[in-house]
Amino acid sequence: MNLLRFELKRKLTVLMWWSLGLGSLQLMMLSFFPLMAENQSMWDLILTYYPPEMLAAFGLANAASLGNIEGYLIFSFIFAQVALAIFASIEGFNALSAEESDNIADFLLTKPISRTYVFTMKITSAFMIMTLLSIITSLFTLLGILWFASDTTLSLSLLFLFLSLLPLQWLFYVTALLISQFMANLRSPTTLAMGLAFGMYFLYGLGAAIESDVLRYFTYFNYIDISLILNQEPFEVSFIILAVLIGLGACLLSYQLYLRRNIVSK
Amino acid sequence: MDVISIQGLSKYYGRSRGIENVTFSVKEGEIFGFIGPNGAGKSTTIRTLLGLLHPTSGSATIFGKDITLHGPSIREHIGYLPSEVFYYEKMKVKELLEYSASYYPGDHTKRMHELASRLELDLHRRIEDLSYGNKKKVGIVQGLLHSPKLIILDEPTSGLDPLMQHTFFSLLKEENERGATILFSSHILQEVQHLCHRVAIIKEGVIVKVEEVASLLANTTKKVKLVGQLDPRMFESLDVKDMVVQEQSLSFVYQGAIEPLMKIISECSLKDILIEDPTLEEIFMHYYTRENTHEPTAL
Repeated sequence: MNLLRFELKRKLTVLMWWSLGLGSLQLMMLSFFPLMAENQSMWDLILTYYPPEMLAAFGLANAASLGNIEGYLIFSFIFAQVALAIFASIEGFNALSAEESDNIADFLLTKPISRTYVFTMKITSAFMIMTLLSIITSLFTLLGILWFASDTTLSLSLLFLFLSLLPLQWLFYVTALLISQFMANLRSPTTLAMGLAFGMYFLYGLGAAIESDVLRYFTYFNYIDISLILNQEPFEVSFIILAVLIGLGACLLSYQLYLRRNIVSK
Repeated sequence: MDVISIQGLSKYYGRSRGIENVTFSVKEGEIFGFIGPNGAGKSTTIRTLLGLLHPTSGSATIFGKDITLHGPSIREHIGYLPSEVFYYEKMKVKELLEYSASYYPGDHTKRMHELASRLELDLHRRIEDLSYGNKKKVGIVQGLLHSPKLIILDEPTSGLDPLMQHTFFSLLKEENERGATILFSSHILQEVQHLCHRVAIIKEGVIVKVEEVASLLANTTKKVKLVGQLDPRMFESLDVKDMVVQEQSLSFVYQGAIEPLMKIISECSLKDILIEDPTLEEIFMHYYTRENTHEPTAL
């Protein structure tokens, strides 16, 4: 358990800052809700002037109204999703390659531990940290709703929304993990993570705007679509199957590649 | 008993050669030198033994166990000091060493403090605040604190001042007397000559010689300098090289039995004579100045 404890300790400060950031983001976004609710008819009218493609790009095509909390969350929660995707991608890019990039792999991998152990502890620690960040984000969102939309009846869809955060992060995590195994030297994981998360967000918007069935398969924001969750509509089976296949497949493939990886001296 | 046994080990990086058909063994309790210039394949061999690189072909055992199958249990008894040391910069030295020690069974706190004291290493400083030499000391402590049975050192003395090098060599000798086997890779031949029992010379990924240091120095060749009225043609029948003829002296490198040389010398009118063994550096340079072949020949 040495490595797990060590990894968790190292990630704790990062988790604290991300929690503060995401918590503030959620509270800030939800603080605008009373204004939206107060002028609901006006905002809904404004939205009718927007082209449907643009509304679709922002996930608002299916939003009943910005004046109720579910409709407002469809618009606002995507920012939290993107932030969590960036966090998970950074974790994924860093997990197996941070030590190699910093030339510390020699220190760790010459200890009496197997690469299976290293891999297992790395993804366990990341899973735990992502779970914690999901819980913290959910709690801040709930706090924001109770604070700024106190007369809202909490629906089951909110619980599903919160439960969807971890699978979304996992998909980004394993994707970044897999990409990192194809890279000889990973110098800027944050840039790559932002590219991956924003890239998929862009595809999400573009796919919705041009109504492309193909593009939808290239972005995880469609796999875990908050408008479907909040409108309590069923997920598409093909997305569920793909998400499970990617979630497991990318993890197993990363493991196999890591076992075979040569740690060269710099 | 062989602690390390390497049989035909090769490692290629794509099409690039790392090492080719490397074969040698290191006996229990031995200090074994592994010499060659940068890029010859020393680190590749060591990293393959440690499981950082996967061999392309061949095999190796440490403590009788296959390196590809039993890496973790083998590494439990290995202390390793790489040529370049890098650690978690934000950690304090003590934290890092305790973390390192936690991977080995037993309590190593006393040994950690003892080694840090010998090397004058401040345990309370952050890694990022240390000079390269001090980071190297951290490497030495983390490599030795669990009293390993096998110590693998890859060019360990770079960054250490002469006094610390002396302390380090004393530590190695103590570890060796305790029973530890040492594989010592270096391109500083004086320290290999001073410390090691046997050496392997590696050139362009291929082992060109494995020999005891003493016999490598004594048996193969002699450097001869004669002072007096001398005729170089007297030595034409012998295997002599690098002959330098001056007005009152003659010097050359001789390969062969000592009797024929002494017979000819006895016929000369000499004022002075000097016959000495070549240094390990000269032997080493010999292997490296031969071109287009990996076949070893005497000096």
